[in-house]
Amino acid sequence: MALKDISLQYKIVSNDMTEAGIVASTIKKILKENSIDPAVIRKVSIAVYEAEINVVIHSRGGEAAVHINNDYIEVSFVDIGPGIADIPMALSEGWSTASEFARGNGFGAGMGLPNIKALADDFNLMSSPDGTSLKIGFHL
Amino acid sequence: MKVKDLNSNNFVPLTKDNGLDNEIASIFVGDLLSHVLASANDGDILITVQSNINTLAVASLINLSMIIFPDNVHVGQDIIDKAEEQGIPLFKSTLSAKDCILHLVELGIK
Repeated sequence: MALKDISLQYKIVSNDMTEAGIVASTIKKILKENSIDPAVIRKVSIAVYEAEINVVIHSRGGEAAVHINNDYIEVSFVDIGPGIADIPMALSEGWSTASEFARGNGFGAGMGLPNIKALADDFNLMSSPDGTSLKIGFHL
Repeated sequence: MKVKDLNSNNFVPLTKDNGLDNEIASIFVGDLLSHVLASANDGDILITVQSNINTLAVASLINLSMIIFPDNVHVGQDIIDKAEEQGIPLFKSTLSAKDCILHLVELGIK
């Protein structure tokens, strides 16, 4: 099904859980309104939420950009560091550098990135001490 | 079965009317939210001691039917208000997670 073009931009604040999930819930609402397959909505929602949480709990803050075009959705997350020191380790389940704050909020068990990678149709992760860029895409 | 059909004194409602028509599918127990996201299904009742704002976000994203906080876990009024607004019924129980499951099964949930 062809959706009209939509572009959205969000700021994500470090260690602030109150707004965490706004990107995922907004996307879910749009996809639902456009009668996208519930299984696809589920995987997009989960992956985007995990990615938002990662920016909140691991970075000094960042942004998310959403682009929906016809039958594809791409969500990019860019933060301002401190970056992921070892990407292969970060992609292995159970490996985590999360803080007590993250763990106290029910995250930080090293499942986020592996979950995102398993759910996304396209996955591109780059990181340096200056920041991390994660781009995930889904066919609708 | 809908949330409103779940009549038991062991589950004390914290929220009011919103979400009571949610359809219950099954039961999922977990405190690690990434695990809940990955493995719980549409309509599941979530039993968890994780009574924070993220639990509501997770419940809403994956369409959980309701949340039960076992062991008399404290739930803040801000969380209750937010759940009411989002249509996620919250219940509290003095039972342990294990006894909540056993009781739900007795009530007919598989």
